[in-house]
Amino acid sequence: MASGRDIHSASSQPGSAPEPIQFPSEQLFRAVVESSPNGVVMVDAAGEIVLVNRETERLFGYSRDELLGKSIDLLVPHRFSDRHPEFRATFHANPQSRSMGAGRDLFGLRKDGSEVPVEIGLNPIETGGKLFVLASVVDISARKRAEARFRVAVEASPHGMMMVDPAGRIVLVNREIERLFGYPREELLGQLIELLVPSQVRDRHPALRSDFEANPQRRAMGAGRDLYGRRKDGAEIPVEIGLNPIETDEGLFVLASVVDIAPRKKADEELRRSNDELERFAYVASHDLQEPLRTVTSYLQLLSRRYQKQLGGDAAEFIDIAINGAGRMQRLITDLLAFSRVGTRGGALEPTDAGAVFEKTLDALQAAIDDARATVTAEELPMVLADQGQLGQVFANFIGNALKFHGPEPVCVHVNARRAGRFWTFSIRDNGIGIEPQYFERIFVIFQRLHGRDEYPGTGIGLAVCKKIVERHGGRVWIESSPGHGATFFFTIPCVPD
Amino acid sequence: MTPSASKPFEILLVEDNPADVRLTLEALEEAGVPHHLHVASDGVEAMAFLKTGGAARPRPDIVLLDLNLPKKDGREVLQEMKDDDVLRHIPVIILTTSQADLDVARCYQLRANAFITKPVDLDNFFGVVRAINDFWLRSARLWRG
Repeated sequence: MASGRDIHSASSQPGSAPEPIQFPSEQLFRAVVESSPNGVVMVDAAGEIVLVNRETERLFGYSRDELLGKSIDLLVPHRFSDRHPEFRATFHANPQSRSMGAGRDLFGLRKDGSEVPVEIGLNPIETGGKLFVLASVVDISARKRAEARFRVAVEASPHGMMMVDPAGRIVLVNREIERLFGYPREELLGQLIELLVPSQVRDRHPALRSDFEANPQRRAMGAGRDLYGRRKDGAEIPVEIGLNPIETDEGLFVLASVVDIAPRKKADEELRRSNDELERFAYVASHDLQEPLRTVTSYLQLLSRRYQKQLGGDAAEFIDIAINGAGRMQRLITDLLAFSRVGTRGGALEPTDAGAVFEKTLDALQAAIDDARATVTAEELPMVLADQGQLGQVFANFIGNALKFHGPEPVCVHVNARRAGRFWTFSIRDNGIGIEPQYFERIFVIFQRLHGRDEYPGTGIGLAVCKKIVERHGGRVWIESSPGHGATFFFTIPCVPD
Repeated sequence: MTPSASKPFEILLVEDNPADVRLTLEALEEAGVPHHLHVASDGVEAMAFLKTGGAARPRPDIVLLDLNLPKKDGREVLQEMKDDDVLRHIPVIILTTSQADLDVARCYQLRANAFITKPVDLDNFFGVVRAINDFWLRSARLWRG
């Protein structure tokens, strides 16, 4: 390899070098140095710059002529320049290729007085008995900017973010983590992540970390379990944690996002409480409403029983209308009670033979089925996870619905079930009058009716109860239909877990 | 008919709803059994009636007892009566709006003599009161001490 002095002499300062040595590869070498994306600076033993390339000119804002022959200290910020000769001496005492200022942030001083963040690699080159240092200087301001943006983004994230190194030590946290766990960041950095794990799982946590390491993929932590973090004050807080593996040449880092779900838990609890209250209210109200209603009905009947003959001609009719009204209210209240009981009086969800429940329902409905001259058939039905009584209610309401809304032909109802993931989808197909799509949602709302009371009796509770029961099981109900072409009701019920 | 049947039956009705009191009274009138109807509108009043005695508070031949009552509810009244050596023999007919299996089981456990859910329909209600009359007052022989 040619000496630096020769190169720079040949390229920049012809004449100042006594004997330019021509290597066949010199042209090539010069081109390589010139076009290097890194700044290249060669310095002699006295610290004098003997070679620079184009990137160095760009990086520091000096032209080549302004640099050659000057001390390298020209490019060192004043706050470091005091110690720089000392560093150079150290290097010369033990010259070997290495990066400069390991662990420290390095800056270069530009001609305009501004500083630029750099990374510097040092290579000793000995030629002609003299020691030169070839420094390659990389402008890392773009990376620093990206890092700064990353830091700002991480810092500003409404979620807690932290990074853990392969040994399980915390290397990065943001403000939200500080707030969540109540530690200032200097008390977290360098600590094992187990510091933030509640004591009852702390012992198991390193094993869980190894599991993640064995199969690193982006996922939620502790799926299906409630997770808690341990605050500095010892309190445990409910959290949701997302894990993102980050492969680096130093090993597997994990970026974890931690969400404080205490507010959500609180909202859930409030919702549950208010639902419970509402159900209790409906139950109590309907119970207490029954009594005055019974009084109204009873006394109207007593009136009719004792005094009908003494009252005028329309009296009987008026009394009948009033009694009918009270009777209707009675049914509404009974239905409301049944509706509220879905939530308050539901049993546990247990492995249940849907086929047996269906047969039992059929027996109970036999009279109504015979009256309607209907045929009700079913495929083989599976075991499901259900409240047996409520599943029977769902079958009864859907079949009852089909019997009621029949078309001109004899009623045919067919029940089927298909597995779809963790659920079974049941279908109940009829050949009745069908429903227009704009009513698909409405039919499942309590006391919503699509037909006049004279056409079809009922309060409009059956399908609402079905929906409530199915939703209590974690499933959903829907309908496919068109007017005149029958309807198929669908509902999902969870499978029995393996 | 018991030999002392000429003496009107003393009936204690424990019921807080005046409309139901009146209705029961009407039904008893229609049933045509000579009787005196005494009314207690809560459990405390009922126990006072049963325990104090005196001319105005004759020992009832039969008690018609509602379950949901102010102050002391029907289940407590039933229990106290059946725990009492003197009152234990008086037939207690539970007459309530409750249809709950739990209430039925509980009341028989506490030795109620019958559990009747008040029918909603007037004719049926009158029928029930007539049936109570026919069985307990006309057919059964009561211990009138």
